Amino acid sequence: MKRGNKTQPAWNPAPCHWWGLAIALIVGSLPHLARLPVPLTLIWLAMIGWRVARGLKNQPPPAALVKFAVIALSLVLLVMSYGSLVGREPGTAMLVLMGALKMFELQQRRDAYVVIFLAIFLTAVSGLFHQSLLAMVYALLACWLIIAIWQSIAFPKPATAWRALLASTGKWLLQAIPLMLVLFILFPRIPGPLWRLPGDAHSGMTGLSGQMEPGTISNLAQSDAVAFRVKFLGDAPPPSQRYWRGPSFELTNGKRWWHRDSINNLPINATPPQVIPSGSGVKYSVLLEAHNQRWLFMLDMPGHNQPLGHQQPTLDWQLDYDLHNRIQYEATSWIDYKIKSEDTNTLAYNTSVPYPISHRMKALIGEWQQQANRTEDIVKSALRFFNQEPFFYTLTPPLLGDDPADEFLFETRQGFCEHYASSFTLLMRAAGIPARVVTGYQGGELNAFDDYLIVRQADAHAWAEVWLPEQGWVRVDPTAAVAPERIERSIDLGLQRRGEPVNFVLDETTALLRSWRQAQLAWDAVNHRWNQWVIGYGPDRQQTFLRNLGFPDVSWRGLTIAMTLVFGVFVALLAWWLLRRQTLETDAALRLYQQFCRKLERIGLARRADEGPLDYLARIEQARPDLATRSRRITQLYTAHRYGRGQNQVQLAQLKRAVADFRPRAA
Amino acid sequence: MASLALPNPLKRFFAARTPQATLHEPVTLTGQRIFILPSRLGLGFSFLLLVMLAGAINYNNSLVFGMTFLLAGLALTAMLHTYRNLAGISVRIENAEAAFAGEAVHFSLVLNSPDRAREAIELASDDHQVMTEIGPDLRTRCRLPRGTRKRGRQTLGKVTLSSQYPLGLFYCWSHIAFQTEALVYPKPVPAGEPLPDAARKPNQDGDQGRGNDDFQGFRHYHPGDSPRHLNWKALAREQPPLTKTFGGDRVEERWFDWEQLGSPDPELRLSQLCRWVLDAERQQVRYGLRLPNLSLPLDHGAAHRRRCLAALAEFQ
Repeated sequence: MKRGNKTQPAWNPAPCHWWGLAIALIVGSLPHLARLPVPLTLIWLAMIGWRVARGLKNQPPPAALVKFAVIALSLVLLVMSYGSLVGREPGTAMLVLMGALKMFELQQRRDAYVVIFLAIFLTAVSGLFHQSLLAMVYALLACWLIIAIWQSIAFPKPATAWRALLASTGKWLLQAIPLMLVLFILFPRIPGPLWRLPGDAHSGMTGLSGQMEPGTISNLAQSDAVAFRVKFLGDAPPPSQRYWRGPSFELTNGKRWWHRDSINNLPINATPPQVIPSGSGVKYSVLLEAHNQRWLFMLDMPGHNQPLGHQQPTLDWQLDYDLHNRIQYEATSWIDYKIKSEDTNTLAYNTSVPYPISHRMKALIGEWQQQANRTEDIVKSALRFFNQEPFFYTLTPPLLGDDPADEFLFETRQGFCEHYASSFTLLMRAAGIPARVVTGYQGGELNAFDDYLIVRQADAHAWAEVWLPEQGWVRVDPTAAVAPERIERSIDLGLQRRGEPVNFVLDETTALLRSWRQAQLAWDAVNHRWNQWVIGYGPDRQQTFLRNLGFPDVSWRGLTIAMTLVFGVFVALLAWWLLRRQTLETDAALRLYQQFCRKLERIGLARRADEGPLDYLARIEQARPDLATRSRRITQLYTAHRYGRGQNQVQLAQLKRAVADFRPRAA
Repeated sequence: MASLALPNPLKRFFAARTPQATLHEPVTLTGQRIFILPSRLGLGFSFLLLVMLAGAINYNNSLVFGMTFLLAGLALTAMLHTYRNLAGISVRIENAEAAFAGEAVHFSLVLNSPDRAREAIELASDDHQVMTEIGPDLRTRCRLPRGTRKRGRQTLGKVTLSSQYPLGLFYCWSHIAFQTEALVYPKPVPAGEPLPDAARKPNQDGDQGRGNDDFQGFRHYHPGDSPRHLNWKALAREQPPLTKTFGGDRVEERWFDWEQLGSPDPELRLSQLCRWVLDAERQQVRYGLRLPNLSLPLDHGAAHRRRCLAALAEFQ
């Protein structure tokens, strides 16, 4: 307000300020530097280094011409590297560069504040890319350092005082943490964005896609990223039954498979067939990572009533929107089930073959059909074929040509689950058996620390479903015929090498490896809690949390009021705590003096209500000359502390000692 | 502090919360006298927080939410610390130093903190600012200048104590109106003109034992004797202070008389008299001052000089 009328005095940054500003920028930009193209990183470093070197010699910033040339150069490089300036990636790259540019032209204290603010902002923006526990710890430490540097610029201290600087900044941050928690918990969270997000807002999150071709799943299988975590309400089903159903693919051109969503107006039934469960259901809750698709993953076979999503005619479950944020849902599935009826159009569609199949395949199928009494026997023959012929399970199969099914079945014979599922399905269709490809995840790792199942992208899987007249849709996993270990264990990514057969996680590993594995599981348990309660704290979690506190269905208006009130109380508490000492110490002197008066009272020399300390002293001196010296000292210390100029701790300590040593006895 | 044109109700609001204080009377900065508002930097910071909040809502990103709220909490904590840095301080004027018109008079202010050290406090008179801090001994003294224009008395007037510590996000201030005055001597005319001849009065009685030329002997020290004439050797031997006396014929005495000046402008006359007093003192001349309503007898020394200048300052 009034500050505005004053001209700021010229700013002469000390060497520690130059270093401090450079450190603040580096600390703030560090999480982004890995994504910055190399030439931009070099320019960024050069600008900071150049200005610091000049600043240390008290030299001015560059001439306007140089400045504009550098700005133009970095903008050109930026556009060349990213193609545009809009979006999350180029946006942050631009911010990183702006920090260096501001540093480059730094002259006034105001510029220094802009640099500090940019460093803080960049630290916050790094949350859009990484939200792990470690990312948060880094952000906190970065904040601490940057704010300490800020303080040193606002109120310069000698460079040697950095320890005190960090200590005071740390203290304020600690005092701010309760306020942060109140806001974090009670700030009304709303679903959905305020405005359209740039196209790349959610890049980097992957999962199963809406189509499948050779390579889609084997690419995923090399990722250690968590797809979802499952908490079972009862016992977990055995590993061989842990099929997590995702999108099913019914349309194919022989090479690629599509979900029926990708083609409009298919003449097939749009209602899911009835699932008849037997036995007891498995209840569980899933914490699904964002994967930018609509699929929900449920244990095969999910029942018809689930609290979230819609069941598709292919019996998988979908959301109405693409999943950009982690989501948690409850579900119930049946391990034993039967599906009796299916729409005839759907069955016809699932028997269609995209092109005339090869003679070799025809011959093979003819052989199977001759030996078969029932439809089931053909399926068994096919599985036997995969099991007995020299098929290999590998993450890096050879490329296939125009008739991939034929080539795979009779020539290369090296493939990943998608090869087996897709060729098997085609064989079944050619034999007149309705069949489709189902994708999802298979298996998962039980985390003993927190009793939940971790399913990773590496567990992505494809299998087949065939329609048998007596049993309805039946799950058939041709991969299990080739590599049964796949179904029992996860792929061991640590041992996986390019071009080698797939390694599976074995139990008989060394003690060291086991404890390493244990440590990883413990760490994942911590991360799981973190993801569930902190990163996943959105509108739903907030409502759950408040419900657990005993406040069901709080509107955002109610939340705003609650937040304001609780926040106000916390600020008042902090204010009281910060300002309390002031009165406390004056009172300490008074308390000590009253203690002194009580001691005299006991020997019959009580202080009168209207008597000042000095009058009282005079009376003591007269009545008890033997107590005069000590009483005078106490009175002097007390009056000096309460009314004098130099009130300090030393005096208070002296007063305390003097009162303690004062032991008057009755005359 | 350069004041903005405040609307009247605001002026009254601040005036009602500005305590009046005189010499040696301490004023304590209590809650109702302390004001606090966000600074320009604070407004900038709140803008930064708003942008971060919008981003956090839009991306529904917990880490950005957390950072935003932590920084908001920090800003509020900083506000409390800014207030805490100023609250409870008591201020007292110890003395006022006179100056010549056009120069700044200086007031010595003593700041006391009842409990803890204080950082970066700015004291501002109407036209000057000084920065100070209160160390662990809970007490500090600083000299606050106040500009003058004409001779007479200059009250210190409104003093603004302010602080933006720790981060500069908030500006916290308190006003005290000090009634304490400092003397403002007339501005002396430029140096160079010799002392008036008419006032020159050679010593008729010969050697009076005072002068600068020949060493004569010692006498007991009187307050006001020049330190240059002190017998330091004797003092070092812890003997009573002695002053060296010098003899000479050129001991001069001068009277500076209001009436002997021809200028019609009384201020000009006072300025001339002021110059003579300063020159005479520098030349170790005994001088007296005659004003229409007051006459100061022949003498010299710092006290006499001060009396003469005060008479000139307060001449009506």
